[in-house]
Amino acid sequence: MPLWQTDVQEFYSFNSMGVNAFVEQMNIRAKEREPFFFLIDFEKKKPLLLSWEEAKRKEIYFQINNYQNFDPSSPGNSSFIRSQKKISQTVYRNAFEKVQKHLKQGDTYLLNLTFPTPIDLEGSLLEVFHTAQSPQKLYVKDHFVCFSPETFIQIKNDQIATFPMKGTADADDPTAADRLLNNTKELWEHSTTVDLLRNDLAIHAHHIQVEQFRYLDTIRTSKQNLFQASSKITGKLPSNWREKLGDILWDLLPAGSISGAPKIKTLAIIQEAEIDPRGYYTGVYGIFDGDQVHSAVAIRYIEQQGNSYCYRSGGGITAKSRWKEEYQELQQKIYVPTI
Amino acid sequence: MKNISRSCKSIFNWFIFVKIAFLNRKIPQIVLIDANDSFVHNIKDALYQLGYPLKMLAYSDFTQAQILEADALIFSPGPGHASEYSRWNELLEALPPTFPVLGICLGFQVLASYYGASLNQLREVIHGQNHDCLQINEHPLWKGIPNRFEVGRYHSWEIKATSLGDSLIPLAQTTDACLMAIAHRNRPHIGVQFHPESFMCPYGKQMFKNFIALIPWE
Repeated sequence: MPLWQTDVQEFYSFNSMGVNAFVEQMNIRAKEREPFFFLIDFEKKKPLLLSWEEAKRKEIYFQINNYQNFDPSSPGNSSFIRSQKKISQTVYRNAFEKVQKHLKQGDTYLLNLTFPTPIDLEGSLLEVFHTAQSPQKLYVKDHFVCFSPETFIQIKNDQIATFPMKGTADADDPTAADRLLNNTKELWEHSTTVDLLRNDLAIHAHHIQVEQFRYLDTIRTSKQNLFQASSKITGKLPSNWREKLGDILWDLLPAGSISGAPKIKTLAIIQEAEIDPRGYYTGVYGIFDGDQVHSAVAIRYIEQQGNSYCYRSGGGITAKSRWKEEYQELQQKIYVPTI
Repeated sequence: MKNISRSCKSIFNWFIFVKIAFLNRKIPQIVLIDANDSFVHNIKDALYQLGYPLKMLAYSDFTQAQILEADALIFSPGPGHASEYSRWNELLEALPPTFPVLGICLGFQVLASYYGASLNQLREVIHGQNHDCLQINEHPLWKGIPNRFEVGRYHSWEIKATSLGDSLIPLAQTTDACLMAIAHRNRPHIGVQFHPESFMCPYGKQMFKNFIALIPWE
């Protein structure tokens, strides 16, 4: 059964905390400088807050930059995606056209449209987790593995930073970087995301700055190498931010880079256009180490559904998008990072 | 006679009280009505950096009394069509003509249509783009801003420049003649189609400053 259909308490014996209690607990623990791990789903219905040890006992393993709660010396066999089916072009196109109608109406400027693609795995979910080379990865036993290239927020010394990622290109093509950076459609989509994330940081922070605009990272995968364009946006938080950390995080979600703008209306359109709820896919996960916060957006995500698997992926749709290209990008993003 | 003099005195005291309360306010109170937009906190941060706190009220439940307590009003950007925002029209009807109003994007379109201008759906939707904008009439909004300046745009509708009528003056347009800013001839009502709060609008903060300078709060 997919995770979102079940009560989280059944799986994690998470003490019966509602959303308010989750936010409050995070505020208290951060104020007390008690380290924790957190995981919040896209729909903001099943947040998890655990100590690093508790997470390990429940077989939730994370690596977030230099922080990890598992033994990296027991990787087992290497694992990869053996084959992927394609989602129906008609299904994709229908959803795409729905979004286009709203874009022309002015209901949304940018919407991130995602789909699950059925895949076959060579090896287990845990083996994929150990094979994947990513600074930010997460394994939740029997449910999913995620190896995110996208940092969500970092908070250090009263400064909050976010690194929205928008724009993908084939890094094996020597002209791809230039073409990505000179592509106006990509530029406009990225700019919209930057304005949205500036706004989201400004809910609790001030003096928001775009420190870096559209820099490229290279991601090596078993299929091909990819360029990803990101920006760095920062803001200043009040020095007592730890006692409000739960509220700060909650108000930032769902993350702008995987939803769209204006957010409230765009979320309603996502619900109308996508075939199922996203669950923890495109949610966020991260740690508080007693002083700082490090977190990632839960993208590049393999979900276990009984004995089968699907890979969830998506991309930003704007008025200038063409369905075929977006459909291809959906498949291009199905990979396990290997080097 | 005694009664009249007492009530005169109490009215006088009341005036003193109001005046003191007013003078104790160090800065004008600016209120923004949020049409469920995702850029309003950028506006808040721009004003914060200028030294002005911004009070934000949701479109769905603001009251006219809350607006009248403030010194100036901003209509936010937002999704959808100007005709879906009838509460803003009712508010404009109720506000004293001297009350400063700044409309941004959707807010601009509502303001312009309130004064009789008409909307046109753009053939090419413009979201997240930066363009050059040209001043076409002088206005205090342009203080310290070059004649040609960059703006960030998010819109799929435009106000037809030919539909402005007598009460509105066009203030700026793009190089391909899309209307970008208007002002009312006799009232401190200004509208901008672009997003001064966008990172693509280098003179945005200066425009907010120029709008604030129009607020008669002393």
